[in-house]
Amino acid sequence: MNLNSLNTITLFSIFSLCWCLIALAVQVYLSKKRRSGSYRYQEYSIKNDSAKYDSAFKAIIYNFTKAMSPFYKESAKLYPVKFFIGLVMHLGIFCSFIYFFLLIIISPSILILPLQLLHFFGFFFLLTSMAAVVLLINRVTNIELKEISNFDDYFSITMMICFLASISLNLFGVVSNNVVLAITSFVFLYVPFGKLRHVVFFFLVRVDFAKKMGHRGVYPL
Amino acid sequence: MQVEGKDILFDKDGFMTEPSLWNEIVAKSIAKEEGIEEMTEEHWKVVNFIRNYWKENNLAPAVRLVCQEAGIGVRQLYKLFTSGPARGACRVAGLPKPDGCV
Amino acid sequence: MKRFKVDFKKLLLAEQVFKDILNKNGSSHLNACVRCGLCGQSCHIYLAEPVVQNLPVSKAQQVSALFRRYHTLSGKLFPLLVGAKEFSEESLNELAESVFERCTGCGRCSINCSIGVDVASIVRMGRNILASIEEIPSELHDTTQNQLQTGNQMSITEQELNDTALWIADDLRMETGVEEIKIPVDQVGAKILYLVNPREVKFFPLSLSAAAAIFASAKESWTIASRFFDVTNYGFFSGDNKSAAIITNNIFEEAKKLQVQEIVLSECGHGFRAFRWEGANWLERKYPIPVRSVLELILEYIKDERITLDKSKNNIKVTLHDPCNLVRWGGVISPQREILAAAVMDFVEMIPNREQNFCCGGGGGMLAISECGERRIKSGKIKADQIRNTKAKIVATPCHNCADQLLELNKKYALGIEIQSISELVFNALKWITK
Repeated sequence: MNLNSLNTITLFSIFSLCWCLIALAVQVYLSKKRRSGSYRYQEYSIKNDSAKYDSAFKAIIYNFTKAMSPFYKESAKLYPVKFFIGLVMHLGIFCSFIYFFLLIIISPSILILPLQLLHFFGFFFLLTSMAAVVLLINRVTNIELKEISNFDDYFSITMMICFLASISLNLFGVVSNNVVLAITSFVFLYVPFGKLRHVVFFFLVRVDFAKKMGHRGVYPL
Repeated sequence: MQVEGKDILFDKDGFMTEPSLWNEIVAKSIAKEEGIEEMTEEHWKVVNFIRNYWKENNLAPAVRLVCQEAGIGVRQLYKLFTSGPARGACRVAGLPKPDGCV
Repeated sequence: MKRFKVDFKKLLLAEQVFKDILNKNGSSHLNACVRCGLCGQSCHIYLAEPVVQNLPVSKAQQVSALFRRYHTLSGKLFPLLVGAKEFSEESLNELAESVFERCTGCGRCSINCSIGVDVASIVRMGRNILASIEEIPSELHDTTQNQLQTGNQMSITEQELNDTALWIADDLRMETGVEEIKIPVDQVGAKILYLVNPREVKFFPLSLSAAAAIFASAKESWTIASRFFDVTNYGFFSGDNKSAAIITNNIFEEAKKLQVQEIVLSECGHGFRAFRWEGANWLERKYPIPVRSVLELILEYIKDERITLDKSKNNIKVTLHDPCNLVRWGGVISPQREILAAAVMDFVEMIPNREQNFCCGGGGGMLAISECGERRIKSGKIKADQIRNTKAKIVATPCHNCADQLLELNKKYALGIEIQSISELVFNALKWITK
């Protein structure tokens, strides 16, 4: 780690990342099933033909691969445009975490990369940021979505827009690293409070549902 | 529906809300809704038995009793009342909806 | 459901009960919904009536809003900003309407959710809360009480069951000319205890009579019980896990008394799911003997050649309706298809089918609740269209609840079809029975 770049903002961003991880871990722990004695989930029914698969592992793999395929899952199949836009935005978010770690660890070595490459990634993040804008516009204009949404929903997507846009601008050299780190810190601070905690719970619920369906012989299909 | 000037009300399942208002004319009107254009003697045997049984026991009779009383088989009963003894015949007989999976 | 009043004691009880339910089931699903709203197109109720209250996300929100208020920091500090709701007369009434009148618990939303949230199970949690404060639709409550007091949901007496068994067997012997056919009742030491839907005893004996013929043809040692013979579980529909556990336990006591080696469940959707899978969770202990569906048993008979079928006897086009609780939640997906392949000439699948099938519209206890009559028929239009598209004349369905709903859809949408259970189709094709 480049000690010269360990300024306050960087330290704060590391601190808020730790806060995020700890808070999420606490929430995950609190969301676990709690039962008395040695009773474990659905272990108690007899295995026979209806449970010919009964392999939690295979069911879990299935639930993260084929079950999420846009050719199968209706929330993707019946909404191809929204699915694509959401995919682009999530790709951007995934890459942004990599970018965050790069900034912390090897910055300012990023500047050694050729300018065209930086600008290319800049456009990439700009695109993902625009995808997030589309999602916000959709949430604000769609009557049904408006009725089920609350402040947290709007705030989260706005945060994502700012987050991705800041990285894009940073790559174009418009804003400094500190701005990116500041916004990232704020995102990390906020994640455990709102719906952004689905970053962790997504995996938990898919595994949980897969275990249930695998035990019943429904997954993998 | 309107029968002899009185308003007969039904619940969302099509069963009478006030079974005491039932009479033969009401039965014929409900039967028409069931697709029974003309109530034959067999229809009436079934409906009258169900009605009397319910008046005595406050419960819909089992299909066995209905078939034995009317002297017909189960398949014939389902031909007379295509919705079956519960949603078909009991409805025509003005009973409230039987409990459970019917 | 009629609007109900809630006093302070009930609100406290609801809060306490909610905590217990969360401990038992875990709350990860309640944390994961992102309100993307893409679940609507997977829900037959929403597709028939596209209002926001019918969106699966809205139904789940009724429960997760309560969760956020009491079990998350942001919900406790800033409830309005995260859409958290408190337990109140208003919120409990809205919850009741959502989970009992706008949802059959079919689970189509759960498997198609973009995140993977198990929406149907969240709705079930809602039912659990309401059942614990005893605010459930009166029809479900009454039927559950019937089942607890008399052993079956339609209050059929032991005498009536015995008489009906004799009558069905008599009729069947006359029809087929086979003397060995009988329906054993309370036979100690039989191999199989066959649980039936009281509908088969009280209103529709043809499927029980078909099963009796199949067992006789396979020379099976079986029996039904005279007291606890009911495969259905209205405690399950009501969300009343305590009653559901008692009902399940009664069956096992009966099985012990009759010293059977296996319990076989008649064609029933929720009965299969409740007994085969959920029961172990309620009773919190291992089942002493195996439990399986009659479909799996019949398939075994076909494969082991204990019965032989002549499929030419079923030459009308047949399609299959997959009951949600049997297929999506129960895992019995291929047996009924393999049976139909052996028993009928012309079988065509509905689209979509298997675990993506659409609910008939009458599941989750909706068939029993008269207030839901209109919505049930409206949301069944999708199923009616599916049936029409297959151009089949017979709809086979291994669930009596679905069969009743399909009978009504047949009437309301003029489909011109016949509904038969799998046992009946197999019975039609049975080779050694002469008719």
